[in-house]
Amino acid sequence: MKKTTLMIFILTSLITSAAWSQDSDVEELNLIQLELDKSASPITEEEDSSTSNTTRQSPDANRSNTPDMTYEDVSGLSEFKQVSVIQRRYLPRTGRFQAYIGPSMTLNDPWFNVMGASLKLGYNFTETWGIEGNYSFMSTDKTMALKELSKENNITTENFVYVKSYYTVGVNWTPLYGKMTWLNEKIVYYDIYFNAAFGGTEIQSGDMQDTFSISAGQIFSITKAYAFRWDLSWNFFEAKQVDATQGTYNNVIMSAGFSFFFPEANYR
Amino acid sequence: MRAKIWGLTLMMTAFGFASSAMAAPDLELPPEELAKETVLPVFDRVEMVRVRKVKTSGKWEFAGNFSWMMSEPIFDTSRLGVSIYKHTDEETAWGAQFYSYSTGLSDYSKQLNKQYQLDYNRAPKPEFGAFLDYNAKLFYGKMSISKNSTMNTHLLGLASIGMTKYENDMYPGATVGVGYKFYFTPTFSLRTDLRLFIHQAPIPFKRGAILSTDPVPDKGSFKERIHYTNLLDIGLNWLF
Repeated sequence: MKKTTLMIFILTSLITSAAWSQDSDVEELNLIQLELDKSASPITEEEDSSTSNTTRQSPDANRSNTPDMTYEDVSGLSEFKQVSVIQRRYLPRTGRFQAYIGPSMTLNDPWFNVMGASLKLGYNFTETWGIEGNYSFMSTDKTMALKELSKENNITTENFVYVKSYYTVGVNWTPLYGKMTWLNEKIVYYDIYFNAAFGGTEIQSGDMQDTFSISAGQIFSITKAYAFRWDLSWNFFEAKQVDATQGTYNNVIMSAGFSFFFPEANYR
Repeated sequence: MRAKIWGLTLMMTAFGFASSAMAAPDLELPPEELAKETVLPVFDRVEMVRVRKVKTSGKWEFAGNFSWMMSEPIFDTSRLGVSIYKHTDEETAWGAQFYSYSTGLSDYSKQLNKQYQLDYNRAPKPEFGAFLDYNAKLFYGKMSISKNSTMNTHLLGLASIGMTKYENDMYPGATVGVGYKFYFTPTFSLRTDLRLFIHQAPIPFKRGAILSTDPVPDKGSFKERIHYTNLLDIGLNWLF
């Protein structure tokens, strides 16, 4: 008899505690619902008129007003007017400056090892369009081929043209952006841009030659404030050639370094 | 009957404990025992791309390409190549490359000939090359083109070894570099490679042999050394 009484007591207390906890949960859910209702902004008539194709109603209301659809009706739906194929850019650039610094080298000069550094400062009006200025200074060393040409073939190479520095100002166009995975372990976001610019090249004689430049590069976002960047520039300028005639030189310059974006992207 | 009562009792007890746990009061811990930093969870298996549009594992790839030997001083700076690759998995591919060199001279050589009567046709020229190429598919991704379409990409690490046949002999060489593939479809892609080509080769600047008035030298008489040449390749690839 004592056992039966004890058991009834335990069962009663357990059921009571269960009921209390359920009441507590329901009360908490009600509070959350109340807060959500309070924070929800009322729908104005202007908003309704601006979203003429969509009615902002509760899901229940939608459900009750929407007639039952059949599979045949689906084929009559209109296409999306705008399709965004990738999520928003990780590193926003609109209204921000970009400062870049990095080493650079000329890849297609057979007579000189030309290495230096590039400094760039740009501003983006939109995510796609911007302007950028570049200044590069170069250090030059004779290649083995030039030393052999001079020594073995008795050629005076002092008038061979090489670049001491150059500057350009141009337009940046960034039509491509994407993301890639590093060995399927990490996602990296990037932009691909193209640049067309005019400027000047200082050659070994000290003369400044008019220069046209086109380039393409890629910016890998590290954070929303800085990124790794590399690019290939193709510079064209006129100067005196080996055969003493005026001709067009072209330099392919590779640069890789880091870009810093400012002000801070606090609007997203 | 007693067993049934005990069974019912145990079941109700378990239900009661579960309910009690939900109603447990808040625990108050001293601040020094609270966590002071957070860590991200570490998963045993990280997989960023679950479904690849471009699947390369186990497939073959055929490629044709044009090379610009950017820092070649004397000989024609272009060559044509064909390659075939076997993709062992999604991260590695092995290929065989064959290159045929143009037989002319560079613009610099023509200027030197015009100005100083130096004829570098007398020096041994490269004819063709065969290389074993290793591709590490480090980055796989996709990019948006004006929000209307996507294109998949591969960023590759490259390394190759092989031999180059010159008019006088064969010489070993190796390349290292990076490559980029842009997929128009899951099977066709445009590929660009930037490589540093390190190779043994004859020195074309031989005293008493290049000037037009010099006696014509034996092409096997030129000395050799290691050359460094920058290469830019562009080509089309077909995955099958």
